Amino acid sequence: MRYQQATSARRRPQFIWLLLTAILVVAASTGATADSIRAVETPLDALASTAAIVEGTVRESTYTFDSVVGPRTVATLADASADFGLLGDKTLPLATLGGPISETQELFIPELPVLTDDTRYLVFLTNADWFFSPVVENYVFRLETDPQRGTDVLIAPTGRAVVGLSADGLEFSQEPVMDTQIDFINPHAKPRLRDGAAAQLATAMSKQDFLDAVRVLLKAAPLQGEFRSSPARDRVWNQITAEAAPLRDANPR
Amino acid sequence: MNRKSSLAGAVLLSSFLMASHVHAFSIFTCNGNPVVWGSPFQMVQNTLSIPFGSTPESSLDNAIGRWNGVQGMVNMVSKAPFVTTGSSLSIGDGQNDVATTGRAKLGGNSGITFMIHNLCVFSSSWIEADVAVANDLTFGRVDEDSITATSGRSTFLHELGHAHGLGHVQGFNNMRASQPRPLVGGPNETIDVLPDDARGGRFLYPTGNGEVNLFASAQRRTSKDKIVLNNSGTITVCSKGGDTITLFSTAGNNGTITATQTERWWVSTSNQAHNGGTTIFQLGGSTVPANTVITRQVTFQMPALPVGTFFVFHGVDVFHEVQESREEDNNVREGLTINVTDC
Repeated sequence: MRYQQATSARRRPQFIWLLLTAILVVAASTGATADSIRAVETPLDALASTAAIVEGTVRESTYTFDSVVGPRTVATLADASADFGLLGDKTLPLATLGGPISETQELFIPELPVLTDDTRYLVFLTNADWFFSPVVENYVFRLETDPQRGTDVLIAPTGRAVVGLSADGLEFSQEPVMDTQIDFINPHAKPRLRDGAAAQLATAMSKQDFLDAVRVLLKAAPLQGEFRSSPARDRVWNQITAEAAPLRDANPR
Repeated sequence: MNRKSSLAGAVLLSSFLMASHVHAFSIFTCNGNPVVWGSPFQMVQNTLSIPFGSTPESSLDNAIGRWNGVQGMVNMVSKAPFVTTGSSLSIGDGQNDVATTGRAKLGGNSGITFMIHNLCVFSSSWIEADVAVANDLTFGRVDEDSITATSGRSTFLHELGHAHGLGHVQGFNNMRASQPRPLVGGPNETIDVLPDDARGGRFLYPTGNGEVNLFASAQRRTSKDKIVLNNSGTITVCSKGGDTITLFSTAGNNGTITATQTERWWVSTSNQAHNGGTTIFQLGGSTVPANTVITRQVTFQMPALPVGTFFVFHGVDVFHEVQESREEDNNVREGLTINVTDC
């Protein structure tokens, strides 16, 4: 079934790219920060790289292939709304590099976030001229309802609930609340919550508290730039340009 | 085996276990079957970006050596006998390239591994792994008593973990999604495969052999999943002794066999006193289970010491009660100094 999806998607590349380019999220009037993608070590770094923070539900994922931007796994965020920044459409395709590259082979990049079907997310959308993923680092959080409080809480891609957010960093539950292991037979299957997850979710930060903490941090690192819904076409997916390290590393061999 | 606790000029007031970490490594599966390489794989070094004799090369060599140093795991990765010299490398050509590049070309990531596998039907296997590491990282040795988020050495080890088929998992390990990651102690290499990483490697590529390897670390993992220094800053104590200090201390077991040994804490005015120094406490009969990391909080009274500034060290298996595959990581300098004043 997955291969049929990939094949059919590849037959309709023009349609997909029209769809991708037709959807644009604009958060500010300044342009995307092309070639200025920087390391994200703190939440302030993440916010400085963010155009909008949105919520929505991934209904399904499809595959596309393009000779320039390569294989893409497109998780479409439905019923999307913006918590911060502007959102131009309620449907938002998130096209991550990875997927079938031929009838027999598939590209997978472990560093990139994997979105699962029938899952609600809160996503930090990048303001960079992105190529690998439209998500800022791993700032994509599964939303689950804490059964005890009836409030939404966030689960990081590492499978741990978010228990705190400050300028110093995100804080997570000691133990994971969901399994993150991927089975390539169905990589977009929503992972079940672990036994005992309810107790950890009860100690997690509520979504509202998380957004309030973001609001505080935004005073120091306001959103900037715009989100571009399609990957940059300034490079080819299957080429790496090697560049030497600057001659500044004084550490001994 | 020495199971007696002994005192050397100080009194242990309390010692309790803060955390014992046993984590489940993460792998990728196809129909429930682990996705693995069918045979050992070679990485082709790009000498334009990783020149011979450079610190990036030593980082790459260390990463290969550390993964192959895991006993009980097949030596899966090696360097190819040939290199690439150009600036353009291909993904999907069946060759496993390794290079550095600009961070912007990696989407802001410190490293990316492009993994290609056979399409999953009933099972699948890896057929290519291309590793690219950001060239703005620092590739030299990392001090044991530091916390860094910019180590290229750590990134190479992490990306080669992906190349073997391991995924991210949060623990006291190198397959944590992002830096800082924990270090092992000692005056030499501090970036090493840690217990959960090793367990994952042995699971994917088992030889059936066991390993014994204890280590000490100046880092710990907090209850909120952060890697921090066990101890930092400077504390002041009286030269006559009797002041109470509390230290976090981390001991790990990279091996497959539970080990019971003697731990020691000592001080020295030299920051390289990984052996010797003035003992402030010694604890026998300390057991570290296989594939586990333990952080204890230890409180004791300081002995009398001469006036001066002292570095604090913690060692495991200080009497060599356990035959280990690697001994040089047993003693660590903590990130704390003690200022002894005349009083």
